[in-house]
Amino acid sequence: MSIIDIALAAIVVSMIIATYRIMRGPSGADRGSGSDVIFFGFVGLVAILGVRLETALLVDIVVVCTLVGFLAAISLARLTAGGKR
Amino acid sequence: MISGELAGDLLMLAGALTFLVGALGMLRLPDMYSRLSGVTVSGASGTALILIGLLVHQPSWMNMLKVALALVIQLATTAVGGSAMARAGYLTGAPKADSTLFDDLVVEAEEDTNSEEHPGHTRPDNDS
Amino acid sequence: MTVKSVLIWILGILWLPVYLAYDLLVGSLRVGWEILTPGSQIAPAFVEVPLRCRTDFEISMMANLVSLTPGSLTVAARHDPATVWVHAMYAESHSSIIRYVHTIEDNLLRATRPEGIPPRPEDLDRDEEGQRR
Repeated sequence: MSIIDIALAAIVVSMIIATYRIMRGPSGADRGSGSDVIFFGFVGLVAILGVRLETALLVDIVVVCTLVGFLAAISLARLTAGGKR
Repeated sequence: MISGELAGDLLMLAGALTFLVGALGMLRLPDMYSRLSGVTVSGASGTALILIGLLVHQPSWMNMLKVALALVIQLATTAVGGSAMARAGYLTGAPKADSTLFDDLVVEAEEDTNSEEHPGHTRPDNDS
Repeated sequence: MTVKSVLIWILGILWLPVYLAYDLLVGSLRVGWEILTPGSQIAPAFVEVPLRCRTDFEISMMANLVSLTPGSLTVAARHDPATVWVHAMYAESHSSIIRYVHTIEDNLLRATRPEGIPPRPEDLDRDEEGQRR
């Protein structure tokens, strides 16, 4: 149990909270913001795992994750708005 | 080098705890717009601290370039995604908190009912 | 464009990330304190803020900078005349939010305009000593 493990646990707990918000969310935008949090948590998780596993390769994956997350956030918002632009 | 690794670990822990605070805001804050502010806390501050901790833990010029790129994209994602989601929520009629003081957008929308368009979307070339 | 205004422009480009990091930190502490302590002090409001930005780049940067600060969020933006509608979590009054957004705008325009920035609209009705009227 090191500092890094506590950080991993904190991010996992926040992803679980975001999942609860997706299940519960009264409006579609709530669900969208919940999945945004899950994606940001995934980026942080990969970065922390890169330190935990002592590999330098995962930094590249972090860059790719942020790029995919950008597209995901925009398209999710467009999807939530429906046909209303 | 040990102290650098410890500093990186502590920065990452601070980032993860900031992330947890932002996610707790999703449970605690009253309406969708305030919850999006909580998303900004975790997406911008939390992820930025984690990425800076990664750089402090494994310092090299190549890592600095990659982390700077990831940081810029992450901040842009948080800002653009946050306002796109807020607009989507407003357009689909997400409920506002009871404590909302005033709403300038509603006034604009009532003036604009005949054009059937949201005031944020009217372009000048549509009006003329 | 004088030498002094170009110097202010370069300093403004360097200053913008520093100001952004400071604003992010202060906003995160404020929203985090709100989340962690019991009770609710939030007073949300949607405020219409007229801007001095002209180009598309300035308006979209402005909307993104406001969204990036925890506690304030851009809901809609209009191109002509340049206006953003801001959702603020801590709105004591209209003018406090407008002053806050105009502070961000000052920092942005200092970085995007080499010829110097126009005065704030609410400062126009002040005399030279900065007093009202």
